[in-house]
Amino acid sequence: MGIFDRLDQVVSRTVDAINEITFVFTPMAATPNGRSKPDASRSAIEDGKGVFDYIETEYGIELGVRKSYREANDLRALQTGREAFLSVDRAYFPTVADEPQQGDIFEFPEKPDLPRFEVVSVRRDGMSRLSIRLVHLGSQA
Amino acid sequence: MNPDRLVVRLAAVAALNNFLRAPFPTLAGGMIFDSRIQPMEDFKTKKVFPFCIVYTDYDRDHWEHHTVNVKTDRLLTVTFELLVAQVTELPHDEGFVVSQPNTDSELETTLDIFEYQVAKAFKADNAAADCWRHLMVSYVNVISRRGATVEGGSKLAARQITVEAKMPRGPANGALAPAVAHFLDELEKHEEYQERVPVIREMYQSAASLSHAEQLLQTMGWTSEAGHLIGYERGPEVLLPDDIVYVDQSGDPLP
Repeated sequence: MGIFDRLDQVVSRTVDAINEITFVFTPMAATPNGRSKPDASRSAIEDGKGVFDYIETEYGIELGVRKSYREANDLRALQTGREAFLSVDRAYFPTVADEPQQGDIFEFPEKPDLPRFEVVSVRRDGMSRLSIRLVHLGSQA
Repeated sequence: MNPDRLVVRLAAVAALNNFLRAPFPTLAGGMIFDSRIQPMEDFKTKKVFPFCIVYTDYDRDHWEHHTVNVKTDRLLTVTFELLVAQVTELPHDEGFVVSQPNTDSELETTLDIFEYQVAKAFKADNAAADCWRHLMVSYVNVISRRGATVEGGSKLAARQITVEAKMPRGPANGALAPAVAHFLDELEKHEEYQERVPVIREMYQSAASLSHAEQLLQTMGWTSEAGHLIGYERGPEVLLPDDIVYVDQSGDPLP
């Protein structure tokens, strides 16, 4: 392991130690259009640590614009919301198959005011962490 | 407005995934999504391309009203997005496998085969395809467009097919067309839909509890006052008595 990889891991753990929030990770499985159920083939994490961001954001809603065919409109309604991101050390997920997938659930038991979150996308940050985009399932907190 | 649009969408999905049972009519297998909002990515393990997403986009003149009822056709656009990505490289000696194209040319061949299978699925003999054929009465416009990208880190070729068809606006009397009824019965057998189907059926059938005058008021979109003036009252049906005496201009009873 190179010195920079080692440094990155040290930084990653330090970041977690300072900013950590405890999460519970529940893998879910669903048919393409069905409701999801816990996926027993992948392991859940009861006591994970990660860095959670919940940033306020405002954006228009797009209404199916397919320009070359029929003109459509962007909706005039604006949605104000919060974008939820979770950064987690890849050490929690030993193989690619263990990594979170779209539809999996994250909960934050230390913060009971936060709703449950569903995974939208998972990207590796190029180093030792995963950057996970979430959508809330309950009301925003 | 009737629930035809949502039934068309459910029928399209069910026709393309064969109610999520093998044999699947297309190379996407069960990966046919209804109006998917989440981005397409994260296909690391179980989920592999190709797949298809069904949307109902553009619905024109679908609200029944006396001003549109007779003059114009209702037009509905159903959009299919077919995506095929190169995810696995097969050894060259294994030859062409439709679901795992190796070259750009093979990718395009796979995509075209995919579209052919989609078109064919709506001609099949099953409740979903039959419901589609019943509701999409007449195709006005069928357009297929092609796109491709390498930006997601894999080669991906896509086709967007828009099918614009004339659609019925009724029936306004709460009757359920046999093709729709049969499809809803089939759909209800599946866990994912069994709670939704009764809601849809109720939307079709709710007008049955209205009087003829109320059904007409609802279809024509008249104000209650206009309805009253031309003799269509809300509430219980107004029936004329048997002993009506018709009179001529001078007030004498007509024979």
